[in-house]
This record gives sequence, C-alpha cells and structure tokens, in this order.
Amino acid sequence: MTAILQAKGLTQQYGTHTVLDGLDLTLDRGQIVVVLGENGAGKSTLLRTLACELPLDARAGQLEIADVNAVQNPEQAAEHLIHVAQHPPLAPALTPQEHIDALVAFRRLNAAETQTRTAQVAQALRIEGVLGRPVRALSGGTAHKVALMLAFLSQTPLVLLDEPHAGLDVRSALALRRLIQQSRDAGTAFVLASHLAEATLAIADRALVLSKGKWALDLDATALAAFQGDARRFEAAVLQAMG
Amino acid sequence: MATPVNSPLHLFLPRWAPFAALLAFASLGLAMGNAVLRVPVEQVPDLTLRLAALLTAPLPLLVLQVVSTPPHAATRRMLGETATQVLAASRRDVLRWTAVFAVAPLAMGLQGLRTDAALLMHVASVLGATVPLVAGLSLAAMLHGLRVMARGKNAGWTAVSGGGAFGPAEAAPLLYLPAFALIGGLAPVAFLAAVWNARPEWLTPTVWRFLPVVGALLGLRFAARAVKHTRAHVHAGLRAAEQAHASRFAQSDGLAEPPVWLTLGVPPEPLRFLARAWHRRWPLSALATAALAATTFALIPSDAPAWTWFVTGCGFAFVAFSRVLSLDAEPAWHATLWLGSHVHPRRRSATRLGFGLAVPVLLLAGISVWQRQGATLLGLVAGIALGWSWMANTWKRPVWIQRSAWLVYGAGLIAAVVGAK
Repeated sequence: MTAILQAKGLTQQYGTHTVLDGLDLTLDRGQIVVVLGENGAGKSTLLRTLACELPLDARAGQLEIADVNAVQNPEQAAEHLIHVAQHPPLAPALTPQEHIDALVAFRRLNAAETQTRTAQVAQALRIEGVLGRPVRALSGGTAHKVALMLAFLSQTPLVLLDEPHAGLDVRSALALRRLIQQSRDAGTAFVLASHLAEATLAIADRALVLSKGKWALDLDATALAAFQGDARRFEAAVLQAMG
Repeated sequence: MATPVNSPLHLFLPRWAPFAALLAFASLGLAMGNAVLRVPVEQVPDLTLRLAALLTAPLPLLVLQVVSTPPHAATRRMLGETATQVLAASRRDVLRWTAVFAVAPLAMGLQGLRTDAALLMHVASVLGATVPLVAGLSLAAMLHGLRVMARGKNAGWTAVSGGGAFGPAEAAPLLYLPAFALIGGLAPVAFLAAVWNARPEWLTPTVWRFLPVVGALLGLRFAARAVKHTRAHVHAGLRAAEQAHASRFAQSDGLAEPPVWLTLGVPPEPLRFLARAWHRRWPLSALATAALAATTFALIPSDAPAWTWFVTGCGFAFVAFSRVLSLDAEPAWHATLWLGSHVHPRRRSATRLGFGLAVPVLLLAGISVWQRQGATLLGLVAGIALGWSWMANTWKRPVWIQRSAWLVYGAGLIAAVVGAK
C-alpha cells in the first residue's frame, strides 16, 4: 500500500499552550484511522492541521499529502482531501443540491456520475427528500448528514471527519459506517475523530489515543482485533491511556 | 487553472442574475428619469437629488460586501475552491456589481437631462439636502459600528482591520475606501443644497450652467488623484488578503465573511438573497417582478415626492431596525467573539451600535415631523415592520409576529400608494 498522508513532528500551539507536541502519523490508501481523546485533547486541531487549515512552517513539522508537500503548497495538498468539521460551514441560504453543484464545479467532477452517486448516498443517509430545501431549514442532524454526503461525493483520496457520529440516529450511524467501509474498499483513506468505542472497533484499521499533545496509545488492526466484541475492555484501555 | 463559473456558490447566484439586475436597474433609472421629465421645472432639481440619493443609499453596504472577504469562503474552501479562485471571483463580483449600480443613475441622468439646463436648480427645501445627509450618517454609523464591535468601545481604525484581530492591516483600505469615497461624493451635494437654502442669490442660473462642467472636471481630477494615491494601497490589500487565504488559515475562522461581520449575520446580502428567491420561484417571480415594475411605473409619476419619501423612510428604518435586531442573532455572536470581544463588551457594543443605527432614523423622523411629511413617517413605520418581519424568521419568533409585521408593512405600503395616487 502507498501512503496518502505522512506527518512528522506536527506541533501546534495556542499561545503558550501546546496542543500537538511533535506527532507522527502515516496513513495508507484505503486505511481508516480513528483518533480518540478527551474533550479538548486536540483532535479537532489535529484534523485542521492535516486539512492545511492551520498554518504550518518547517519548525512545526512536516506534512505530505498525496506526495505534495503541504507545508510549502497547502493549496495544492488540500485538493486531495476534504475535511468535514464538527460544525461544517454549509451556506444557510443554499440547498444541499446547490452545494453538490458547487462541489462538482470546484472539484471538476463528472456531473452525471455525481448525480447517480448522490441518489445512492442520500438514500443511505435518508436525506433524499431534503436536497431541495435551504440548509437553514434543516435540523442540525440533517445538516450534518448533508456535510457527510458531500464528503462521500468529493472523490478525494483522503477524508477527514470530525465527530461524524455526533447527532446521528442509530440507523444513520449504521449507514454511515457502511458508507465509510465501501469508500475504504474503493481506496479512500479516512481519519476520524471520535469518542465511540464500539464504532471504532467496527471500522478502524488503527486507533490512536491523543493525550497531552502526544500519542498515548497506538493500536493496529491486530491489536484492535483482540478487543472485538468487548467494547468495555477497549474503553478501559483507552481511559487508562488518557490517564 | 480555470475557475468554474457556473457554480451557485461561486457568485452565490446564477450567471444570468447580474444581467437581469443590469436590465432591472436600467429600467428603474429610465422610470425615474421619466418621472423627472414629467414634473414641473421648479421641482426637477429637488426630485433629481432625492432620486439620486435613493439610488446611492444602498451602495456602501453592497460595495463593502463585495470588496472584502468573499461570501461563503469557508463553504467554498470545504467544497474545494482554491484561495486564488475565491479572490478572483470576488474581484469579478466587484466589477460586475459596480457596473450594475452605475447604470441606473446614468440612465436617469440621460433621461432627465432637459434643454433648459434645469438640473440642480431650485433645491427648494431643507428636505432636499436631508437625504444625502442621512445616507452619510447611516454609513458613518455603520463604520462606527464596525469599530465598536471590534473592541466593545471606540477604537482606532487599525483595531478593526489589522493588529491580528481583523485580518491583515493592509486590507483596511478594501474596507474603508469605498465608504469614504461615497461620503466624499455626497458631501458636495449636501453642501450645495445647504448653500442654496441659505443664500440662493449666490447661485445664479449662469453659475448653475457652469457648475456641471466644473463639477465634472473636478470630479475627474479627483478620481484620477484618488486612483493614483489609493491604487498601491488597494493592490497591497488584495495581495495581503490573497496571502491570508493562501495560508488556508483564513478560511476556517481567521477571516470573517462580510455578511457576518458587516450585516451581523442575517440576512445575507439582500440582493443575492432576492436573486436566489427569484430563481427558485420561477415563473411566479417573473410575474411578480412585472407587476412590481408596472406598479412602479404607474406610481412614480403620480406623486413622486411623496412616494420617494415613503421609500426613503422605509429603506432607512428597515436597514437600521433589522441591523439592531440582528445583534441578537446567533451568527452575530460568532462574529463579535471572533473579533476579540467578550460577553460584556458585546452587550455594550450592541447597545452602542443600536443607538448609532437609530440616529439617522430618528433624525429623519424629527425632520419629517417638523416638515409635516406624513409619507416619511409612514415609510419609517413600514420599514420597521418590514425589518421585524424579515428578522422574525431568523430569530425563530412565532409565526403570528412575522405575519403581523408583514400586515403592518402591507398596510403602510397600500396607504402610501393610495396617498400618492
């Protein structure tokens, strides 16, 4: 497998507070990494850093996305990823369909293919009936599903999802899990920030626990397999790592 | 890399919208020019001045919106548009909308030209000078609000733009120059009107005949000097904004979007909002527009002064009242917190900005009472109702509040129409 993301020594500070303290991370194509951690541990900061949304210079680490140096060419690197933040910045006055039209235009996607794919994803997430309504008229959960749909339609090799299960009902959460797995099988790599042990065990190829700016626990697929069917034991291990 | 031009987020409205707006504004200008042609000669300058001020009143808001950070930058970046493309789109937006707003005054001016060179003669009332003054005051209140919102108190201009709090300092001219240019343009008009009222004998017909020529020459010279002196600043501002975007630090929460910080969140850009609504309601919207145009054509020549005063009052009250209401809307919180304000300064800011926005409305109300201008007062009430109804949806207030406000606005409009007739 080839690496889609290579980060070395990532460091981010807010004032004097160090949020990320020299993190290393390598992600292969078709791999799902779940980052766990307490509230305020720096998961969102990590995703924003990987999405090239926070400034990075050579002293703050090295970051390569799809073989593009993201420190020197953040614009070019960002073309290979999509980041769905915890509160995705959807335009309130526009409809989901208009967001899709914009996605097609900006990312130069095939419109017919995207439309077909939209029908599938929207049906899976049960939002096919709201594609023509302005975002401001949608509930928080539905708007979140719209943002997730955009991520699956973007066809980028790297998808960053911040708390993707937040606000989703059980059926939608299961549908999301299936969509992630299908995309992974097609070669898309995912970095997810999450709090859910069971969901992590169900989809992750690798789980990392972030604490005090460093990786406190790193579990690969083999280690995760040992926890299958025993989410409580996994939670206990994560809690212990958090300290 | 080619910029995709047919995306709805690219300009936030379809490609044909600017052209439709161009036609609409040209028609409006011609209608107003037609109205000028039909009134008695002694009313021409007064009416021209009022109509011109009406046309220019919304300009500062629109110009500031299109010149600063492009709308929906965060969404566009999430969906894959690059910083360079966003900025290029913004520049095209500026040119397009400037052209749109220039065409109505030009059409009116061409239509309203009369062989007796009566333009600007007989500015017979104090009210003739009021509209430009109120427009200038509104703008000053808006700019003042920006400063106050940034710090919760009066602060230097650089505290709003620059100093790490509000984008790069070099971008400040992009925010302030168009506004100052408008104030500069309105000031001579107001001055001339005031002179006419105080010492009409100074302004003989001969002076009036030469004034347009002298004014045009001075205006051209002023414009050339302004371009020469500000070009470097504007260029530096655009470059700084471009670099800020290129860092990808801006698109998340580094630079607020203009509708958020300028209009404090809602509603986003009235013209664009209307254009999208027009697009979605096709063909009903076309019929409604035609009906509106027919009504405008039918009404303006009947009693143009009363009608224009109604519209003036309505416009100012709507802008001021909806802005004050929007201070409590959620997006405004994000904007002010991001600007470096905290809860207590934000409350103080809201109060100060509310008073700042109320000043032009109160001034207009006071003058209309003094001059016994019922149409203006009616317009103010209708404008407040319109602002309330507009904001009620965003505020998530009960539907009956919104409907009542629409009812009051509708009643005011009908009363104005009947009165004008």
